[in-house]
Amino acid sequence: MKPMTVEEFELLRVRYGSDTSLWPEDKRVAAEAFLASEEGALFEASERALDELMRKDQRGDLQGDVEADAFLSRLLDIPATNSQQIADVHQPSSRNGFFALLEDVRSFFSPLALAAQGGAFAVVLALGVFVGSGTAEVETMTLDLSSMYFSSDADLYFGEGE
Amino acid sequence: MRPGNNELDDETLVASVALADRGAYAVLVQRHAMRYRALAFRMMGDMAQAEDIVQEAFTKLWTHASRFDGAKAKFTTWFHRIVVNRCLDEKRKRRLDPLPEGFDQADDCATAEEALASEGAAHEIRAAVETLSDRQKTAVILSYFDGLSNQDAADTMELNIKAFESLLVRARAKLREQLMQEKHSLITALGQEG
Repeated sequence: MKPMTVEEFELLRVRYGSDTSLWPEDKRVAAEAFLASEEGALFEASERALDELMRKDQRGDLQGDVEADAFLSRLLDIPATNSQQIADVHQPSSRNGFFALLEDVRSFFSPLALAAQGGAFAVVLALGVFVGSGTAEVETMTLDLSSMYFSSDADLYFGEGE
Repeated sequence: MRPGNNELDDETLVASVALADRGAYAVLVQRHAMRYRALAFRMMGDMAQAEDIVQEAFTKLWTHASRFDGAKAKFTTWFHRIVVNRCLDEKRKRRLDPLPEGFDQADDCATAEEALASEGAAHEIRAAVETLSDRQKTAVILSYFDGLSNQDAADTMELNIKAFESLLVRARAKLREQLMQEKHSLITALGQEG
């Protein structure tokens, strides 16, 4: 079995905690071998000292805190002094009708608005096709331009304005 | 029977806060405020500033609760992120703001004599944590002082778990080194006095 290095042990200690009995079996065996070495024992002693310092400091956090109640009541007052974003959105606008709608341009790009716009476009398109197909046949040009080459009275068509 | 707010989980309470339920908001404050205050204090080293940051975060919770997506993250991860990022922004701003003219900056590094006179352990570790980079300091605070799991701390810092663990290893190594140096300077100071 390859011996564990300080770096490997350090990383595994951060990952699984200081209690090696809780480590995965394969890593635990290698870690115990490492801890049995002089280097391992020294390293673990310095790690334990660091853990202990941090634990002591953690306990100090809870001592002598007289401002906590005032802080909590400031937080509990927040709803009384701040309106929610959702409430702002639904506040009635000072304008009415079309101009009120224009005030919030973002509403044009909501999924519902986009679907409505698509629907309106389809209806207008269908109406246009329907109206277009129902009208009288478009007048086609009845003038036969070639006729002037064969007819002596071509001036009747083109010479009137002169 | 409908459960009271106290029995509901954080994510359900935030959904109620989005519907302007002040009772749900109050439960979240009672449940978490002190923890985030301690976290911000650890990050900033100044209680007034820490309280301002947490108050700002709770204001955001009240006004923007509808932005929270319980399907994407736990409430505590989301809120940790808000508080931690706000602390880091504030620290960055503090570094950029020039000190007023004539301001005498206090020396954060305790001398050997001061260290001897101080409470000892707490002072020693706090001074060592102050020497870490902001990211290392955040990792240490979330993991050891706030008690988050590595995964939750990594999520808060928006890192993958391996990157977070490497960061924590580097932070611990620097702390050990720092504490060792402090011990050496204490021994040296004692030797000179004796």
